[in-house]
Amino acid sequence: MRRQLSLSLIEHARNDPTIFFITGDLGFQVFDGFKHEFPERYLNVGISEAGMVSIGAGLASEGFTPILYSIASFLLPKTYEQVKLLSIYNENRIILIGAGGGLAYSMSGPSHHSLDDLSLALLIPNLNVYAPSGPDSLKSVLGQSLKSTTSSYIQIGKFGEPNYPKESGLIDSEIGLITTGVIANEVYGLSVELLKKGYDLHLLIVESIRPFNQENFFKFISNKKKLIVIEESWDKLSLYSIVLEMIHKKKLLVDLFRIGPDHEIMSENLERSSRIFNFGLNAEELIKIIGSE
Amino acid sequence: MINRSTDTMVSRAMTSTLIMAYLKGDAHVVSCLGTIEILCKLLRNNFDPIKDSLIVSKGHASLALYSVLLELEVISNEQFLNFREEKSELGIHVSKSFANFSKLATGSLGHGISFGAGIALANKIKGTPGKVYVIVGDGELNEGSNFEGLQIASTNHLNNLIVVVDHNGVQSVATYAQVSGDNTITDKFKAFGWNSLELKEPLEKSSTSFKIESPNSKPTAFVYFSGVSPVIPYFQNKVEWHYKKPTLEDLSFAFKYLEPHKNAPEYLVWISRT
Repeated sequence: MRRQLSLSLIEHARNDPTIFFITGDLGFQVFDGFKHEFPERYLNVGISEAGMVSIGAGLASEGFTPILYSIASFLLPKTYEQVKLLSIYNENRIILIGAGGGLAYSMSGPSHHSLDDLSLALLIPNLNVYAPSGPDSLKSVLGQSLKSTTSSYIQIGKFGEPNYPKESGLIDSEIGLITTGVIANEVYGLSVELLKKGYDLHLLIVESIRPFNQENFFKFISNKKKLIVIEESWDKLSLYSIVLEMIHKKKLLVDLFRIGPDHEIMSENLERSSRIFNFGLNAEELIKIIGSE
Repeated sequence: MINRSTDTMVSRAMTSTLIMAYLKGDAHVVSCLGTIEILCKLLRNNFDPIKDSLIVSKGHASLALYSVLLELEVISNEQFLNFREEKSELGIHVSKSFANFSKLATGSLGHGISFGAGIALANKIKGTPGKVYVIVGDGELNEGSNFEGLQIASTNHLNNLIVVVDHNGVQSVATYAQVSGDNTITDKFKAFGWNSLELKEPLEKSSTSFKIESPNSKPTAFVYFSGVSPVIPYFQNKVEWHYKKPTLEDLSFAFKYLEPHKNAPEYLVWISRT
């Protein structure tokens, strides 16, 4: 996804002279192409996330479109106020890109786990929140963020994620799976495995958490008896809470399940694959939920 | 309007601030006084409202900005008297309703320098000549976010960025020295590669126009010791005047220095008529 980001940025920058890329000293070699082609629109501000957002907001006030890049676990947690006040309150449009969201850096410890970035983003009014699942999805949300009149937060993964269809499985199925972001990789893999085993299910991958496509969601859920939300984030303000809100809004009768990490700091060293298995993203658990009364 | 001396303008703007603080409350009197001096000197002398940008980062000194903009007729009497009322664009903290005179709505401290660096960088890239002036408080410099801005501005040679520190020596609940230690503010700016100058005489009498004699590639900071030569000793150098609402008695002490009977702002006449 980072490779795609780099390519898409170059493509957009060729047509849009306002695009200005700022990194908080991260993305080794990833943005060399951009830096080479647009040296005057590339800036490394150093390990200063707050300064990066502020200087970005200042550039935006003069007509630039700053793209601000850091690791997801540092970006919004360190710059919440700058985004809320300098960007949103003062109406200076910036695009924030948090790389390695969720548990991408699982083994690097809780300092690098990013289970709250989407929650922080959703807490800020009028900020678009995107969690693309693969390169095509990233391309699409980057385009949406550039067209939008307000600021955006885009959580991206690492390298090598494939593309996934936004909807897959059996439309008529009464079992719905809904997910967002990089964990779509594992969810899609499991859904294919279960479909092959004869279980019927219908998977929806959400790439834009805000704006949330309600029409599409209500169409998706219209025939569902069970809905399983799968997310790689805490559940305090997340895809799960949005789904709850939607269900409440329409007073829908659906059995709702969530597969995702508990709201706790994970200090034990574990690989991402172990953690997501442990929090219930595996065939056995899914079959248990699907088969439950 | 601009025929008045800077002295008179300072005195009239301080009168306005104190009257409004008395009438409406929610003003930080001591935070406003030095900032009024800075704003009068800056806006009277070398600020180009078309090309330059101003950020009052110490947003609690809003009345200082509003009082000086009233003097410059950027704000009307009606607008000024509407300070702190519902739906007024003149809020308790600086709003951004006044074009280049206020490029950022502030209130939370520590944001102006980095944001100003962004504007300064934009001007550099576009090749436009505008300068960016950021007024910060001395206590505000406790915020670490400032130092990210100092580093970025210095590394990127933003010599079109000028920070003026209102060094009044008092913070919210203590003096600057008690909270911030013995290191001088000028040394802090110098350590980050800035031109850093001290201004210790009253600005109205000073020859400074916030320009350095030999321009170079560095951003510049002017540290104005507003507490050293106070215009109104009654308020200045006193921590409690960060919060207190002045009484009529307090105003009468202040007016000994300001002599509003000689230079009454027009709205006082306007009020008496309406």
